[in-house]
Amino acid sequence: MNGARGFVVSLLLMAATTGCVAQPGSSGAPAESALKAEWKLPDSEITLAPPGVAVAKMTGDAAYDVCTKSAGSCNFGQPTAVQLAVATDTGSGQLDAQGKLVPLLNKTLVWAISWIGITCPPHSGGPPVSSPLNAAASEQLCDKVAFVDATTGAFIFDYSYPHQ
Amino acid sequence: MTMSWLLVTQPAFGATNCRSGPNQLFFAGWWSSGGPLVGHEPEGAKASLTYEYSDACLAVGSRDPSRWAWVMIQTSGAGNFYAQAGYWNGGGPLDCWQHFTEWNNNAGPHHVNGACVSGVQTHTPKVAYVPATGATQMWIDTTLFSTMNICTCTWARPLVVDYLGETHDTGTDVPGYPNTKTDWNTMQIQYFTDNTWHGTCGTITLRRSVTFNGYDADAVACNHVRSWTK
Repeated sequence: MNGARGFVVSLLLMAATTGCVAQPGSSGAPAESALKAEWKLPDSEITLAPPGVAVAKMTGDAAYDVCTKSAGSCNFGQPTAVQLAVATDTGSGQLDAQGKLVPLLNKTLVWAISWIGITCPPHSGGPPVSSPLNAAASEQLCDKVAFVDATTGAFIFDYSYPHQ
Repeated sequence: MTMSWLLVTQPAFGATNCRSGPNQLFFAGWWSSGGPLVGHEPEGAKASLTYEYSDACLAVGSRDPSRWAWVMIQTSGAGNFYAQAGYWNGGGPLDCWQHFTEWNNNAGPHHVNGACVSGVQTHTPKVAYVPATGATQMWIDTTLFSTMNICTCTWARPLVVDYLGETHDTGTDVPGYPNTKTDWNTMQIQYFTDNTWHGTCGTITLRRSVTFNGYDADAVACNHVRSWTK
């Protein structure tokens, strides 16, 4: 019951922050929208900001298609939202030739494809050292966000974390 | 004589139905276990990991056909405290082999997936403690995938290092086969005492761990191990 209530509350919060539109995309994903308020993803340094007047070079539907067909990261059923946002992450990056860390998301215009309150995707974890075999419980809920560059169409990464 | 039609659903070639119960974990590879520490306590791990692949069982119900191979640092105490980097495949029809990193401070998994990979490739997954911040970073080659802003120094010690393949169902093959073994080479650990990196030869004792008899693991050298499905 608590999980179901949390899911409904999450959906309402998402609707409040995104201004959801009713028409689904042609791929079956929810209609795309622009993020309306800053969203900091928990336990990370990923921050999403409203895109302002920025214009994507691909549709949210096409981004969802990229994520589903070429990245294997969007196969968790119907997403909760497909939102255009400006993303920054200081917790990830790519070393350049000089050894400087270049952020993967640095005020990058992205399609953020999110699932809220889903059963956690399969996850790993190590062998028990001093406790009984202890795989994470499958009934645990997670939130997940996949990022597709809205300018280049490239899949960047996805991040899942315990449901908030 | 009555002739009856028998309808049989054939699994995909080479595949079997998943058969293990939920929340099962199976491993093949090497780790420093939680026994009395012989050598140096690790706080980071890395290796040159040759990605090899394997088949998955056909998921039935909530069964989990995923398979994995990675390097990891974890607690030697109870609970899910770990940070890891490597590659995996969820086993679903649209899933691909992907780089991944994951950490858990006993409050649920924080998981990052990167791009799909294919063909035999060698990468360097690394879990590294950052003394300046107390964070632990998870890398694949020169790409920082994620940062855990929780100090592993708060976990029950000694910390443990792992170089393992993993499945969640005995119907799924752990990555690698006898002629294409998953291969961790040039293995290194980061010392807890001074944060520097050293080879695993003469610095830490690793133990073989194979938790299902369909899998296997060996050590080519003290800094070079392999695992596979028989």
